[in-house]
Amino acid sequence: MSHRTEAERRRIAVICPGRGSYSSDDLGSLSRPLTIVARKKIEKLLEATDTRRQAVNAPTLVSLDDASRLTVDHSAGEHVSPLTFACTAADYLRIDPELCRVVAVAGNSMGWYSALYCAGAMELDETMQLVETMSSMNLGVPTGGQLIYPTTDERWITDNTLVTRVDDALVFARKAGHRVGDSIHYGGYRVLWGDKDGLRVLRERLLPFESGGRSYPMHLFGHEAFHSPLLEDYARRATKALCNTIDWRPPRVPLIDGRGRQWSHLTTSTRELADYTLRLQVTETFNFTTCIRVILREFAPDLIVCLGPGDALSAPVAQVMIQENWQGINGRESFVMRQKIDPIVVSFGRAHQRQIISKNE
Amino acid sequence: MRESTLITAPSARGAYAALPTVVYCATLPSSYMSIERAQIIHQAVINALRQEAIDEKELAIDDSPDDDRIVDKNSGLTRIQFLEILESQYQARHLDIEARRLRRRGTGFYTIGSAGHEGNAAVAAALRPSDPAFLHYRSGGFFAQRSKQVHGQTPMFDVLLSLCASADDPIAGGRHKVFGSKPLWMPPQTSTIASHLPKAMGTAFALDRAKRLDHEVSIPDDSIVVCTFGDATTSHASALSGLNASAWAAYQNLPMPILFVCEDNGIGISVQTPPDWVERVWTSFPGITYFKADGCDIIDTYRQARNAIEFCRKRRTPVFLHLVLVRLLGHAGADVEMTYRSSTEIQAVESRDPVLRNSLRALRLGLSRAKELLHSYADIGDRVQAAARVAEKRPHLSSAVSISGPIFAHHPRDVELEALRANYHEQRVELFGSERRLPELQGPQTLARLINWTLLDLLAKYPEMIVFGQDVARRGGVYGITTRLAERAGSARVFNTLLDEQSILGLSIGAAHMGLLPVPEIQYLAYYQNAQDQIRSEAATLSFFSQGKFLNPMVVRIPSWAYQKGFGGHFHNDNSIAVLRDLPGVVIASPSRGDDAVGMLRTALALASIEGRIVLFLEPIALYQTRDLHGQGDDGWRRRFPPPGEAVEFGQSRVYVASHAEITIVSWANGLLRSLQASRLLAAYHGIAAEVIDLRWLAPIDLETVLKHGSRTGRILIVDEGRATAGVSEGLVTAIVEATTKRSKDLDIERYCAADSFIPLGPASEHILPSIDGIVDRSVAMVRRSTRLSPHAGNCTPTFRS
Repeated sequence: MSHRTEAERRRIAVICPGRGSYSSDDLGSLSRPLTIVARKKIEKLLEATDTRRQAVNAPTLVSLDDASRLTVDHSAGEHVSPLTFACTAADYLRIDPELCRVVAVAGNSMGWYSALYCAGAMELDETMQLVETMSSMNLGVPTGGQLIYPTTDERWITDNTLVTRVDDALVFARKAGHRVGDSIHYGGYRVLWGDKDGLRVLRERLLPFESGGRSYPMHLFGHEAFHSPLLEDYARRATKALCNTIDWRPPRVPLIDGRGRQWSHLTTSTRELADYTLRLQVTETFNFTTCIRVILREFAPDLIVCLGPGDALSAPVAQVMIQENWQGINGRESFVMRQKIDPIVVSFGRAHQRQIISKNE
Repeated sequence: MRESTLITAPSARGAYAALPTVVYCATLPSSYMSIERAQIIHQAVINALRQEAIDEKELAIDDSPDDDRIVDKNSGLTRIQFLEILESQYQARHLDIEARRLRRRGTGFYTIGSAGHEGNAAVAAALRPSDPAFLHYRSGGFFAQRSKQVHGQTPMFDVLLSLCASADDPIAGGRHKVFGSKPLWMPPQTSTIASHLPKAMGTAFALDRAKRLDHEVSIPDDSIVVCTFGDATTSHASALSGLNASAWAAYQNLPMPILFVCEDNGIGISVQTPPDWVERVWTSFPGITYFKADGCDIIDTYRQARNAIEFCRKRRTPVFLHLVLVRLLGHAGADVEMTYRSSTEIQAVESRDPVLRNSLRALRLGLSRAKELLHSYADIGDRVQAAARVAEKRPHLSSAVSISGPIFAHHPRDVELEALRANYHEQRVELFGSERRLPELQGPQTLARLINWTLLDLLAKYPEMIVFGQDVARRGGVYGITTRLAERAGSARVFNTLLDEQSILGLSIGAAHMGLLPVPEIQYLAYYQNAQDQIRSEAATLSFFSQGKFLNPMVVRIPSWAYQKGFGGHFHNDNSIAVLRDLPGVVIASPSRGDDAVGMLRTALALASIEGRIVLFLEPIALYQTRDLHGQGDDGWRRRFPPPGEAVEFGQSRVYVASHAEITIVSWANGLLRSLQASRLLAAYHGIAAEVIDLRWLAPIDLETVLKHGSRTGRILIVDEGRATAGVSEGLVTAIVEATTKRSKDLDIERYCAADSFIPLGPASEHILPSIDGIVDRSVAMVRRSTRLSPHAGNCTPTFRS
C-alpha cells in the first residue's frame, strides 16, 4: 500500500442524509463491502439494535434492508430512521483515510444525529439510541406535516418569483391564523411545516407545477412538522429522556449545524451541544443551505461527500454551490459537466463516485 | 482523521530556542522580511506547544473537563469561553500570515494585520453582537469572535476575499480591505486613522436620543457603541474631537454610551508613544472613565472589558478601555521594522506574543491539552490556506461602472414623489400653531424666514428629523434661521452642540446610522473646511465601501458665500467650494430665491430619505434678509411660501428668459441676483437682451439647459462668486467646451480623467484611472474624427465668441 502525502489526500466534508432518503436502490446496501473492522462494528450495532427491536415486535433493520422491495414499514419513522442511520454509519466507515481526510461534518435534518457520530461526538450505539428514541417517541398532539416546493428554475438558478411566492404563502397562512413556517432551507427547495389547516392553505396558495417529473407543492408523506415550534413539548420530553443518558463529547472534527454554527473540538460545550440536538434543532428551522455555505467558504473542501442511503443530497448541495458560484459552477449544466470531468460532489449512492474516496468497492 | 499537517518544525525547548538570527533579513526585500517574521512567530507557537505536548504525556490530565468551569471568578469567564477567544486569536493570526503569502503570490493587496492585537477578541466576547462596532484595521480577533456570536457567518473566507480585493467580498465588494458586516453591526472603516471616532460618538449619542424620540431602533435599548483605535491615534485631531465631544456630553449628564478601546502597542508606525502617555492623559479626562487591561492576556482583558462594558451599559457614559499590547510583524507587510527597531527589541516584543502566551496560559490552567491546542492551531491554518486558494480565484471588479455603482442609489421618481408628499397636514398645524398660521397663507418673506419655516415644515413631515449645531437652539443659529424651532419641535429634536464641526458632522453620521434624519448647521463655510474629512473620507465613502449596505443620509446646511459688504472678513465670507465639488455622489445645492430654497430643501430631504444621499445646502448669507430685486422697495426678492406638494426638481436649473436674448448669463446664489440686476441694465442702457440661468444645484450641474440656451445665443457668461481656480465655473467651462468642440472643425478637445469615484483596492483601481490603452484609444478616435471632417464640410455647430 503506497503511502500518500498530505497534499494527495483530498480534504473532504461529509454530509449525512435525513430520513426519507432510503430508496429501493438502497435495499441490501448494508451488505455492501466493508473492512473487517468496520464490518464488525456494524454487525455489532445491527445485532444489538435488532435484538431490541425484536423484543418490541418491530421489523429488524436487517430484514428491512434485505427486503426485495419497499414496504409500508420503510416509510414509518421508527423503522426507517434507525435503518438510515445504520446505512450512513456504514458508508462513513467505508471512507478510506488513505485517500482523504475529513475536515468538516454536517447532516440534513435527522442526518444531524448521524453527523454527531461521524464527527466523533458520540459512539455508534449511543447515536443509534438517540435516533431510536427520537424517532419512536410519541410526538404528542398530531402536529401536521411538511411539504416541499422548489425555489429555483430548471437550471437550478434561484427564481425570485418562486421565493416570493413561498414567502407570500407563509404570510397569508399566518394572517389567516394558521401555524406555518420554514422547516428546512434545502438548497433550491423550501420545506415548509404547518398544522393541518395551515398546510391546506399553503397547498392552495402555492401554484402547482411540474418539475423533473414531480409535481409541486409535494406533500412529504408520513412526515410530521419537524423543525417547528409545534414540537416543543416533544423536545422537552426528548431532553428529559436523553440529556443525561448520553455521554456527550466534543466532536473530533468540526461539526456544522442547521444554523451554520461551527462546533469545534476545542470550543464545544457539551451542554450546549445536547441542548441544540435535543431542543433547538427540533423546534427551529434547519438551514441546510447556510450549513453547506459555511462548509464551502470556511473549510474549502476538495470534495463534498454525501453519505447514503440514497442520493438526495447532491442536488441541494449543488444548488448551494450555484448560489455561491463555487469554483465557477453557475448552473445545473456546469455542475453536471464538472461532475463528469472531476466530481466535486461525491455520493455514496453512486457506485462510480464512491470509488473516489473508498477503496473497498 | 486527526491531522497536524503543519507541524514539521524541529521541537525546541521554549519559544525562542530555534529562532534564526533576524539580522540577515534586513537585506532581503521587505516582502520576504515580513514572511520571515510571520514564519518565526508562527513556528514559535508550534514549537512551544509541541514541547508542551511531549511534557504533558507524562502527566495525568482530566480527560473530560467541565465546560462551565469558571476560569476567572471576577468576570465569570468559563473554560469554553476562554478557548473560544483563543480560537478566534488563532483565526486572526493565520489570516495575517496568509495575507503575506497572498501578497507574495501577487493575489493579495493588503497586509496591515492584527498580530499582537488579538486580545480584542476578548473585548468582542464581552460585548453583544448587536452593539454597533467601529473598528480599526487590527481587529481580526474581534471580527472572528463576533462572528461566532451570530450563526452562519463565514469570517475567514470573507476576510480572505477582502484581502484579495474580490468583487465577492460581502461588505466592500473588493473596494477596500475593511472589517465590516451588516449582520454583525459593523459599519466598515477604511484606513483613515481616527476619523471614525466622531461618528462612533454620534452613534452613541443618537442611540439614546432615538429612544427619547420614540424612534424605533433595530438594536436593544441598552446597546452601547464600541470604537477601537491605536495609541498613536489618540493624538489625532479627529480622535480628540470624538473623545472630547463624548466627555463634554457626559459631563453634563447627557447619555453617551460609548466604549473607546485604545489598543496601545506603544508605537505609531515607527514613532514611539511616550511611555505611560495614554494612561496619564486618559485617567484624568473629565467625563470619561478609564479602565486598563493587559491586552496580551485573555483573562485580564475579558475581566476589564466586562467591567468597562457593564459600567458603560448601565450608566450610559463614555468609557476608555486601555489595552496594553504589542504590535507584531511591523506596521504592514511593506514596513521594514529593522530600520527602526533593533533585533533585540523585535524579539522582546515577539516574546509577548498573545497567541503564544494565551496558549500556554490555557495549559497552565488545565483548560486544554497541548495536543489539542496544537491541533486546533494547525487545523485553522490548514483551513485558511485552503480557503485562500479559493478566494484568490474569485472575480475582481471589472469595470468603472461596477466599481462606482454603489456610490449612490438612483431612484428619481421616488425622490420626486417623496418631495411632493404632503400627507402631514395635522403635524404641520400642530407645529405652526394653527391653520391660520400655516406659512403658505402668509405674505411674501425673506430667504431667512422661508428657510426657517421650511425647517419647521420638514420637522412636521419627518418625525425622525433632528436639527443641531452650535447655537441653533435658543439663539436660533448664527443668522436666526433656526429661530423657535426648538421651542416648536422640542429640545430633543433641535439642540445645541459644542463648538466643533468634526463632532457636528460625526454626530450627523452617527444619527443617520440610528435611522434619524440629521439636518445639522455648520456656522460658516470656512468652518466646514476644517471638518470636511468627516464628509470626504467617511460619510461620502460609506455607501461605496459597503455596497450600499450602510448609508448615512443627511442634509448639511451651511451659511455660505461672500458679499457681506466686507463684514466679517475671510472666515465669514468663504467662497471656496473646491473640496465639496469632487465628492462623488454628494449633492450641492445653493438657492438664491426663498421659494426655490423651500422646494430645494424638500427635494434635499427626499434625496436623503429615499436614496440615502448627503446633501450640502449652501445658503447665501448676504441674501438672507434681501427684500428687493432691482431697487429700493420693489420687494422683488421676497417670495411666498410654496405649499406642500410643490418642490424643485433635483438637478434642474431655473431660466429667466428674455425674448431675442443675445447672451446667456449663468450664475447662482448672490451672483444670480446680481446677474438679474445686470440684465436689466443691459437692456436699458445697451439694448442687449440677456437671459439668466440660475443653476440652483451645483452638483450635479444642469449642463443640458446651459447648452440649450447657450447654443441659441452663442454667448455664455458664467458669473461665479467662487474662486477662479477649482470653482464651479472651471468645471462648467470644461463641460461646455467638451460638449461643443466635439463637433468643431478647428479644435477637438477631450478630457480623459479618473472617473468620479473613490479608488478601490487591488487591480480594479486601473478601471478608475486613465490607462495607456485608454490614451491610445482616445487619441486614435480623435485623429480619425478630425480627418473625417474635411475643411469644406459644413459645420453648423455654433461656436462661442470670445
